[in-house]
Amino acid sequence: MKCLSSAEIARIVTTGDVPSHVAECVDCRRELERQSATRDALRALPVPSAPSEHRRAIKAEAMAAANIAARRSRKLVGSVALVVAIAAGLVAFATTRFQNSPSPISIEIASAESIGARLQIVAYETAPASRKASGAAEPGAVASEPPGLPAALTSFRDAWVALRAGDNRAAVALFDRSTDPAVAEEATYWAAIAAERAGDDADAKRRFSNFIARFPSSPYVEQARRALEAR
Amino acid sequence: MTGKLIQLRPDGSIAELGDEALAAACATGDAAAQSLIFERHFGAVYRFVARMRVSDAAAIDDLVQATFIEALRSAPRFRGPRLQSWLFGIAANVLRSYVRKEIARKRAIALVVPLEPTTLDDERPDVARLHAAIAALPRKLREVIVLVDLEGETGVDAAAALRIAENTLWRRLARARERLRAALEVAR
Repeated sequence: MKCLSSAEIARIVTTGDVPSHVAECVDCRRELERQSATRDALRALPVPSAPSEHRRAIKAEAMAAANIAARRSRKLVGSVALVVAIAAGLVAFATTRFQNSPSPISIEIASAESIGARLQIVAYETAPASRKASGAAEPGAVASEPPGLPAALTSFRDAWVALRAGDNRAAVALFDRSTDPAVAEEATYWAAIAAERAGDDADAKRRFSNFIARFPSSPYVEQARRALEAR
Repeated sequence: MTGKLIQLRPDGSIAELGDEALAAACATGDAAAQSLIFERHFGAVYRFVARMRVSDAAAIDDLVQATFIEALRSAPRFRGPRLQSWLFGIAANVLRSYVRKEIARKRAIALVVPLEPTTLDDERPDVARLHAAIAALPRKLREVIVLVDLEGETGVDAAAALRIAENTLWRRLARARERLRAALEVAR
């Protein structure tokens, strides 16, 4: 039988399904042993793991950011639906006028302008507040990171930086400022943790109780209850 | 925030949900499902990213976080079969994008300061040698070695995660093992 390729032997080492040819063929057996030895050396390497503090921070930030992105996406879908509905209405209107009008070309131009104007208005309405205020909304430009919406996330991230650095009182203040619904649950819980770490037991107790009352189905409720029982 | 999940499985607890149901619940924005996805798979994603040996250890947290942000956002597009393999695929994409930026940044820095290879002080010499050999592998070979030999993914799942044919995966794996073996022999 023809010798196996190194790719076939790689598969055999991984799956453990050794064909009879390998037992009989010196070259194939040698390649199998080499690849197995390398694989075993790799498996003996220490397993990396994240410190639990990092794990919690990564989780909270990832969930908050994903929720903000989802809300932004829902807003965008709503805006697109509105534009499509308006455009459909205008087309229906133009079609009706076209059937009754002696001058179809002028009606088409007027309709296109109306749609364009409406699109610009909708684009302006969906632009972040800061861009509206500055009048900087550029027609046709796609906002990569609207500056208005992630303010809550910025505050939330700053709170995490403060918490990681051990500046617990600053963390409490920053979490309190993270009032956006997308981060409210995480922020309320971690504000209580920060208050606890700051040594302010009464405030921590009040915050944990408040958290349980506001978010009774949160995955953090059990931890909050344990924290309350511990005091 | 978690009401939708109770409607999906009135008699079951969230921990009983399989990966596909969990991804579906996650796609509705359910915070408990998002949390459970994270809890179930954080360790594996962290290990994968750490084992890919990015030069800046501090970047690992950010890359893991970016992976989960992308995963939670893309949950509606999950079509199985295994959530963990799907997460590895996302992590591999996040890493590719990061590496491209890092190369550009390091080229810019190298114009000013010569770069030193990064090492960990507390590693045994044999472990450090193997880590250095893994880090020296081209990214495509490193991905398969980490997924198959270190994370124990099957060939089918690893190939799906990396969006390559299974035969390509085995060829890359054989080449990666050969390069590591050669690197370790040279070091002896």
